[in-house]
Amino acid sequence: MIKLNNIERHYNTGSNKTWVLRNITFNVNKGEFLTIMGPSGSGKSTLMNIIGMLDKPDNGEYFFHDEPVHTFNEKRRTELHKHSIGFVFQAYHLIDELTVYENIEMPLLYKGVSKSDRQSLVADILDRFNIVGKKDLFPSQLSGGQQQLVGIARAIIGKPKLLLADEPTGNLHTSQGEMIMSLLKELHDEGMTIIQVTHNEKFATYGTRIIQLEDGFVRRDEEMRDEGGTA
Amino acid sequence: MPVAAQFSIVNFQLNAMLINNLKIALRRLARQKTTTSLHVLGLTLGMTTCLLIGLYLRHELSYDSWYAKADRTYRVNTVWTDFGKKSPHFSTPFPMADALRTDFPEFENVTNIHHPQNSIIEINPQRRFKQNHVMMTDPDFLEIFDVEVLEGNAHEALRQPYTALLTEATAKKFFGSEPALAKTFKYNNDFDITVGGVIRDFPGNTHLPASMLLSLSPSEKYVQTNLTHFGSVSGGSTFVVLPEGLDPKTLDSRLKAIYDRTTNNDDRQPKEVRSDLELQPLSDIHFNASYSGGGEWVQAVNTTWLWFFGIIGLMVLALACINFVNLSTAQALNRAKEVGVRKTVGAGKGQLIGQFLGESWLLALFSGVLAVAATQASLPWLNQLVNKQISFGLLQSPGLLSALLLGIVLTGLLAGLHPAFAIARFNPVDSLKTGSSAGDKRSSLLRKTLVVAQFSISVGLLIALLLIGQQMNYLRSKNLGFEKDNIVMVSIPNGSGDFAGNNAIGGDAKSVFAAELAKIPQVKEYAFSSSPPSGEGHWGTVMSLKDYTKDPNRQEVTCIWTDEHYYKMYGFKLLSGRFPVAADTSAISQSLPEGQRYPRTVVNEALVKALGFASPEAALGQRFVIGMNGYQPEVVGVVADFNANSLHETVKPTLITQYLPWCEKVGIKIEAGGDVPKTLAAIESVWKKTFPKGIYDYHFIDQKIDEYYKAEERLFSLFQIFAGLAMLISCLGLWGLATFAAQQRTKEIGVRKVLGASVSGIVGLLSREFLALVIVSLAIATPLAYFGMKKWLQDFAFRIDIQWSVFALAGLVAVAIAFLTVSFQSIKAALANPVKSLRSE
Repeated sequence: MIKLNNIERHYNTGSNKTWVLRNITFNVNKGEFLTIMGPSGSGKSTLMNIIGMLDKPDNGEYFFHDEPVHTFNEKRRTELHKHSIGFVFQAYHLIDELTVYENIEMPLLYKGVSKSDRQSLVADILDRFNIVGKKDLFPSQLSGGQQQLVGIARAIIGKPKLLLADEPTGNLHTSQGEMIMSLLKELHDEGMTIIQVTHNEKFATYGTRIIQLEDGFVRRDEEMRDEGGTA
Repeated sequence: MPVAAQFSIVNFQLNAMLINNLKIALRRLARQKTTTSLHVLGLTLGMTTCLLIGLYLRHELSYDSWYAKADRTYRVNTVWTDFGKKSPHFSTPFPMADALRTDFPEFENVTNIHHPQNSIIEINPQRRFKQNHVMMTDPDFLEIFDVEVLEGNAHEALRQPYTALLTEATAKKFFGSEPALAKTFKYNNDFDITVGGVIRDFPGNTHLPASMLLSLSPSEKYVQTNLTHFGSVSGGSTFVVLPEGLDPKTLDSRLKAIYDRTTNNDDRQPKEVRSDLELQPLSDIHFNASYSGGGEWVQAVNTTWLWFFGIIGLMVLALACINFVNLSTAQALNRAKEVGVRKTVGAGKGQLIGQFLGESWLLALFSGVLAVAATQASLPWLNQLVNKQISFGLLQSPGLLSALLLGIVLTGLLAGLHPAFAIARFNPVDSLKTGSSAGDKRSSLLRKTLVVAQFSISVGLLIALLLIGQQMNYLRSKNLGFEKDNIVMVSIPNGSGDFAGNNAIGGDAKSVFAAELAKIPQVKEYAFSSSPPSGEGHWGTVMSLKDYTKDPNRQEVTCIWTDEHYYKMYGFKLLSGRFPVAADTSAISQSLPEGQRYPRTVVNEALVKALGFASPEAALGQRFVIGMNGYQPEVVGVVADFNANSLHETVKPTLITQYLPWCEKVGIKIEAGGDVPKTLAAIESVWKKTFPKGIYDYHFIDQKIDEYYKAEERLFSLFQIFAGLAMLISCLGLWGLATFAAQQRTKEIGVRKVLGASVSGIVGLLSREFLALVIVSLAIATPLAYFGMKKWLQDFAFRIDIQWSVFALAGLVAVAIAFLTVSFQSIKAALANPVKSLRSE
């Protein structure tokens, strides 16, 4: 599904180049639940942005479903990610002025889904996440866990092929974090391809594969045999 | 995706999107009260100012343009040529209309109008009063000026002698609620007039706002002018309507023929003196002051002021838009996250631009609605200020409504376009990073440029305000060269002395009145004259050292006829010689043979210079010739120049001499600080006793002098208000920017404070940048304002010198205002607890 070939990214600091990503080469198959780990500044978020098509690599190739994303202009990338990728953020990034319902509905508006379809899709997901009663509340009236639930609902409402979650539990208490992680696991079990970034060792084990980044290089890439973390 | 498909989706989703955007916009506006208020307040102020100015300009520009035949209607003016010097006048001799009818049968209409000088109406012996704006005319007037007839046969009425058409208001004034038709009243004591019809009141935008139309035909005796004489004009005018498609230029030679066969071939005058006719478009009358004020009743408007206001209106709106742009881009930071989120869920740039532009349109629409309400509310006040009847009538005028909507759309576009692009450009990766400061260098430069533009406008207006204020003050307070306080001007009725010097009432009536006046203890002095020194109908003729009829260098001279008390009462400053005494009167008597009439005369410095005498002393005893009754005035005294007209005009050569028969006014100096109403009542009762058939009327001459500048004063107060609004809007913008600058630098301020910076140091740090911008604005505004004001002042013959202190003051005020505006925010930021500001990171 995803093929990364020699991806590199650097920033210019004064006259020096600071490398953020070097030589990143790996594939992600459909149905995988990949966890990216690594210390601060190891390039995790940059890698996520490149996979999410919000950022462009300086070198290397990126194929998404065999499409050469690295050759696309911004408009085509937008078009592709709009239909294929959902984002979950550490800080939720809900729009303060919109209600829960409207936040979840927003991607459908940009995709051009009809009103009746939007209503049933949003109703389904509110029901599934057990937040029907909160649909008319504004983000500021919700707890962090609830906001992240809305964030995930918004990310998957458009039925993306890939879900990117950048430290989805970073701002949450452990119990709320576990709730979010089991939800991601559930989505994975239903066939969703997920890539998450986390610092939390325990939450990393919810995935099927872990990639360790350090100073922009891939240090470790291992499949999880053990389906742990569900306990 | 193919473009067409994309489009259909866009269309399909437009509604949902629009509703979503509208919702978010409304909620955001409701939440961010300060910003929203700043935006709405600024735009509303700007739009209201623009609307008020627009309505005012629309009113002024609509003068005489609304008649069906307006574009083909011309006023026939007389142009006098005197040895190459041309003087145009709005008036034509009485028989001109008939001459034009005969010579130009192709003219659709020709009408003659005449403004009688005084109109006394007597409804019954108990109700007598002076009526203003009485006009005599013929039926063609109704055709040209689209008079709406409500009752009676108006055309027939104006054909019948001694018949009047009353406007609704006049009919009500004369006869109350009773039907006016066929009623009669007495006109100027001697004439019985029948009301032949009632017409609609004239609107506010005509230069001929008559209160009643009297029939004008040769058989009528109430016209005190020779009806067949081509040699004099009496304030009457002729209007003609040309057939469609006729170029008025092709008429020149035929127009010339009329005066050539009537007055220009008079052997007694030199060939270099002639009269000509000129066609002035009706639409030009209100804007052209070169025809002796343009008319009798409505002063022509100075188009410089109209331009001035138009520019201010647009500037104020521009200021409001600049505020919007500045605040929005400064604030863009707050919207970065939203943009990032929207982009990650699939919003395109176009959609985002649409959203933000939509928000500014929403604000513009909202402000537009408020501005309409504010305009509606402040219109009565504007009308009072400029003494007009300007109406709004938005719903009755589709043109105005569409102009307003277009204005709103343009304002929204102007204000919103840049911010929308700037915000939609944000990179989602940057904008979603926590703690990022997406400071956009380009936007910040633009903001600075706009602030400089804004303050340049404000400082420029401030300088103009100060200088115009100084000039106005100068006009009010300049020593005019004569006494003008506590002098009441009273007219002696017509006929107390006529052109021939034969007094109908006789010199006696004046001496009786004088004797009675002297008995009133509060009356200190009085003087009979043809006019006070301040104008109000000076006589004029030509003068020369030799035979004026053949002298190409002859000049105009203003004449004032007086009694012997005049000089002392008005306190002229004598430079040489003496003031005439009562015995000098004998020298002007018309019983003397022509060539031996040497009136003893006081002249002003301007006359001394005009005739080329070396000094006031050298002029004494000299004689010169004036174009009146063969008089050769002999200079017995020279007075310092005094301003006989408004200070727009230079001092003209003026002579003052004694001739009681032509004195139709009395200046009465009353005790200062006494019981003025009682004194006035005493004068009135004496006057009524002496002149029982007249209508008493009085005014203070200083008030009359103030009236010269009333129009300007009114426009100046309007200007003051609009300039003040412009300053206010600029300050709103600066305040908003300072707020955001302080917010943006919260962390920096926190760190500085932790490191030991003082509060004053931080206030300085935050204010310095803005003050620098204000100083740049000063440098830009000063020369522009200097040249603009220099041009404006050239309209005044007597004017202030532009002093550099004004610019310094304006600069100081601007800096002070800017500092106060900015420091409020700066001090707040500087006093904030650093722990708090750093924690938020």
